[in-house]
Amino acid sequence: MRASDDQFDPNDPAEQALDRLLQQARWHEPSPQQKQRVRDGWLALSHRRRIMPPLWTAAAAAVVLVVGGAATIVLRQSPVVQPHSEKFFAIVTDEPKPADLVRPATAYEKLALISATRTPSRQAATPIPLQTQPPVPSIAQLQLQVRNPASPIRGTAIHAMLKRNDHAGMNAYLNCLNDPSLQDQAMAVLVGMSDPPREALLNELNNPIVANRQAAAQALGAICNAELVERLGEMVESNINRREALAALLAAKNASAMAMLDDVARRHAAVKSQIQALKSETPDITSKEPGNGKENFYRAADSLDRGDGWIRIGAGATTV
Amino acid sequence: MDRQTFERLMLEHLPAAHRLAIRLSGSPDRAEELVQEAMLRASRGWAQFRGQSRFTTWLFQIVINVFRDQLRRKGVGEEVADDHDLPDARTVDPHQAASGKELGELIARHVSSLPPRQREVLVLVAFEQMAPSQAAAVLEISEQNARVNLYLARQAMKKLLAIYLNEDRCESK
Repeated sequence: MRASDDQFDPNDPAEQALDRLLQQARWHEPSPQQKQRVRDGWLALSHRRRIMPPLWTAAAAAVVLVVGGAATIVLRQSPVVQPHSEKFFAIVTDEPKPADLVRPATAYEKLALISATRTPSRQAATPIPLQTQPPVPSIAQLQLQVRNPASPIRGTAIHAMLKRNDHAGMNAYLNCLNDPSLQDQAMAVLVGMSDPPREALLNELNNPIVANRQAAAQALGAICNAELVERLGEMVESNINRREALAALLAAKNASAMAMLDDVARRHAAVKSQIQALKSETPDITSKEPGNGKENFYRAADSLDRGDGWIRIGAGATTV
Repeated sequence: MDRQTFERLMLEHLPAAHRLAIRLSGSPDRAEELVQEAMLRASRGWAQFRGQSRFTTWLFQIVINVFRDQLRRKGVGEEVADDHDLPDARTVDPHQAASGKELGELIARHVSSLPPRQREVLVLVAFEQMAPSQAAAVLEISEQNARVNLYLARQAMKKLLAIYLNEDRCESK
């Protein structure tokens, strides 16, 4: 392309017409919840950063611990420290040395002597009795059972996640829904429940992870009854997690949900276009790609909490 | 710049970054992921911002880098899939589209389905009101390159929106 070809004339009527058209472009606005989540995400990130020790402090602490640990090893293993060695005492006591060869012990040597002659003053620690198994299994235990393909209580573990009726349980359950190898079983357990946790799943429509929000919508669609259709309709009307509520109604595929969708689409043009967009991009939760931006964000935020290696070095040093 | 000032600036510029992410990705969900990832990178690399460029330029650079990484990670499959959903401008009745307020969304979707580099330049120049030289700085390309991509993007948009352009010109005459 010649240099002159890549310039457009702003006074050309065709270009002006294009500019007028471009000014009409209208993208879907982020929902208030999305805006809030982004803002909260930043505030959480700033807060985590603030409570973290500065990098140089962490590095200095790590160096001190490593040097301290190494010094302890050297002091304990040093061949110089032989307090019962007859040869050592013989040199000092039997054959007095000329004055210029005798010198007071250095601090290092004093320390070495003290540490070598010291008798253990600490008594053996009494073993701490093992804690009794908590009556309610933890999320980690449930996840362990669920991730084990040979586990005979996989279904029971998924059921227990749902029975917890809290955010942690729901999050673990939604992760199962996003796992192609567990998805069918997870959905079957939910559908088979006499009293599925509808309220907890409704709360998960605002889950910070996109894939989990979408999975919650799918799950709600699978257990959608008339009362739930009403609740989802209210959420659409009041623009609370509207996209997710619409996705749940779309996933429901029952008559009352379809009627609700038709009704809101007729009354709100914006919702109508949102439904069309959702139909084209409704997530197939089986095709979720691992490691999206949001997950990376939370994973990294957690690693900030752990101290990004700082604690690992420190812990290694203290065990020396 | 100290950390507190940086955090305040980020908070002020988050809506602009979110808006840019939506325009680039064409989907609020993908935009949310994109802006979260950008926030993380900005938080890690805040010390690199030396105040030589505008904060917007620096932040937009990060958003665009995340956008490119996301495209690379997900491949072009998703982009093509979106493209198939676009109504063909030649078969849509312009009056119906305009009256249904769907023209704006149609244009937005066409912009968000342009080849990535053309999309980036067009969004920055036509929608973020940047000069081609500023867009080139954000995209870390030469100004000439930015102008070429802008030209190509406008040509593509003219083809996609030909029917509306003819309507518009007739009306203005």
